[in-house]
Amino acid sequence: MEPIRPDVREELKRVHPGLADRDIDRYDELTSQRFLVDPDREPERIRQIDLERTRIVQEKMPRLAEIENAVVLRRREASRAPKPPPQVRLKGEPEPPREPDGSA
Amino acid sequence: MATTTGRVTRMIWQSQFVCLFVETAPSNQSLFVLQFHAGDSAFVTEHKRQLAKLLAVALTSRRRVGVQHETGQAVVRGIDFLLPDISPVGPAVQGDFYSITGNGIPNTAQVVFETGVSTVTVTPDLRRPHWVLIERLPAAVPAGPCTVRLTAPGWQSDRVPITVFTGAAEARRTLYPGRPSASPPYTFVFAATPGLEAESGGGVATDPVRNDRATYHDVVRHCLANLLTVTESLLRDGGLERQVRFVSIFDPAAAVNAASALVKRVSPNLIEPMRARMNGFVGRYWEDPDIVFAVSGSTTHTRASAWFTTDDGSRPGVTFTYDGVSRTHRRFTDIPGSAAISTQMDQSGLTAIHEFGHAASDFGNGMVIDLYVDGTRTGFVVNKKMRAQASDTIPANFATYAGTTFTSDTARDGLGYPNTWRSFHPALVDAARPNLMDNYWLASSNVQACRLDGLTFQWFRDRLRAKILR
Repeated sequence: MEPIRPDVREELKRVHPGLADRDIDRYDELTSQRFLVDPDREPERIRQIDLERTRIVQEKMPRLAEIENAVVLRRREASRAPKPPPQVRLKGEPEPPREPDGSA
Repeated sequence: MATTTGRVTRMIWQSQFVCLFVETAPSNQSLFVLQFHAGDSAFVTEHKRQLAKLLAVALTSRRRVGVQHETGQAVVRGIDFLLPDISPVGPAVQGDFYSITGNGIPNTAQVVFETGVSTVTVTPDLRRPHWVLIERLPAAVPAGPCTVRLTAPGWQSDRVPITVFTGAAEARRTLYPGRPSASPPYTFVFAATPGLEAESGGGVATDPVRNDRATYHDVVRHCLANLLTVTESLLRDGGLERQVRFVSIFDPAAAVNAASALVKRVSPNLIEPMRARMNGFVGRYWEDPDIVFAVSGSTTHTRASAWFTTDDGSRPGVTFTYDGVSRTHRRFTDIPGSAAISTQMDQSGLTAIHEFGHAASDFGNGMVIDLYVDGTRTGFVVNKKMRAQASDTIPANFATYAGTTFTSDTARDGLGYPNTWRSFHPALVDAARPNLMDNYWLASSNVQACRLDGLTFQWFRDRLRAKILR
C-alpha cells in the first residue's frame, strides 16, 4: 500500500484537533495489515480490520479521504512533465537547429 | 559478386526485360535489369520468374533489399530481403501507444516519420536501449504510408515502411513483446478497469477511466518509467527488462459487470485490486499474466494497494535456502500479483515500483511487505523481522540467503526506528535514503533515488530470474 505523505499527515492533524500521530500510525498499521491477509482464505479477518479502520476514521479523522485526495490531486498536477510537441517539416525546408541532447 | 542495398522504387516489365530502380540514397537511384533469354533452361526461367516476383513484393511492401550482381554489371543474380535494425510493435494508430524495438538505442533518440511531402519528428515518452515508447501517436503524423526511423546525434536506424491509421485504438496492445522463447513470457499487463465495485453490496459502476483514455496512457507511461528508469535497478539488472512482455488493455467495448470490475473501493479512499478476477479478464485478450496493474479513474478513491502473487506450486522452480530453510522460487504463476493504481497518482514518487514490490512477491514463497509500519504476519516475510521486545538490541545480521549473510539496518537510514517498534529491516543498498518499501516520501531529497535493501534486491533478482528466464 502506498505510504502516507508527510504533508497529508500534517494537514490531517491541522484539520482534526486532537488527532495524534499514533492514531494515524494505527490506521496505517491496520491498512497495511489488511493487505497481508489472504482474501480468499480469511475474508472475515479483513472485514474485522476494515471495521476497526472505519472506527478510527470516523472518530479521529473523518475528513481523511477528502484531504488525502485533494493533496494527491494537487501533487499530481505539479508532477506531470510537459511533453514537447511533434516537429513537422515539409520536404525542402531546412532542418531546425538541434539542442545538444538531439531534441529539436 | 557485389551487393547493392536499397529500396525498390520502380519496376518496368517490357518484353523479355524487367528493369528495376533501387534507391540507394535519398538522391541516388541505381538501375538493374533481369533478362529472360530464349535459350534459358526451364530451371533458369523459373528462377528468374521467382526473382521478378520477389522484386514485385519488395516494391509493393517497400522493403529494403540487397540486389546481388557482378561488380560493375547491372544484371540481377539474386536478391536478399534485409532485416531492419528496428522493429515497430503493432499497427501505427493515431492516438494509440506506439513502440519500436531495437538494440543500442541512444537515450536521445527521436522517432522520425517521413512521407513524400513531410517529416514529423516525435520525442519518445520512454527511452530504453532496446525500445522506445510514444504515449499517444500524434495526429500530426499523417495517415497513410510512410517510413519510420530513429535518429540521434551521430546515430541513425534503418527506415522501416509502415502505414499510419486513423480510427479506434487497439483494445489490447503489446507495448513490448518480451522473451520470445519463453512460454508464456513473463507478462506485465496494464488494464483500464471497465467496472468499479462498490465497497459493500457488490454493485458495479462504470469506472471513470473508461472515458479518459489520455490519462490512462499517461499513467501507463509513468508506471513504465517508474519501473524501468528510476535509481532502483531491479528490473534493469542483468538486462531482465528485455525479457518482460508489457501489454496494455483498454477496451471501451468490454461489458461492465462483476467479472470486469478489476478494482474495488475500500473506505475511506483506497482502491483494491480484485485479484481473483485478473486471469479471467486478461485471458479474454489471450494474455497469461504474471502481474496486472488495474488502473482506476476514481476521484474519491485514489490510494493505491496491491496483492501478492500466488505462484503455481505444481510446476518447476529454483530452490534456495533462507536462514537454513529450503524454499523455492517458482517459475510459473497461478494468480497474478496485482495492484490498483489511480489515474490521480502523484508522479513524483515511487508508488508504481513500490506496489510492484508487493505484487511480484508471493503469499507462500516470500512476501515483501511495507516497512513504514511495525507489524508483520506469520509466514515467510523476506524483508522484515521482529524482536521479542522493542528494547532488545537489533541483531547485527539480518538473515542468510543462498549462503550469503546480510546485515541488519540498525538505524533505519535517517528515519530511525520508533522506540515502540519491535520490527527491524535488512541493511540498505543506499543507506542515506529510506527503503523503497518504507515511506519513501520522507526522503530528504530526490524521492525517486530510494532503493531496496541488499537482501530483498538479491532475493527478488533471483525470483524474477527464475520466472522471467523460465
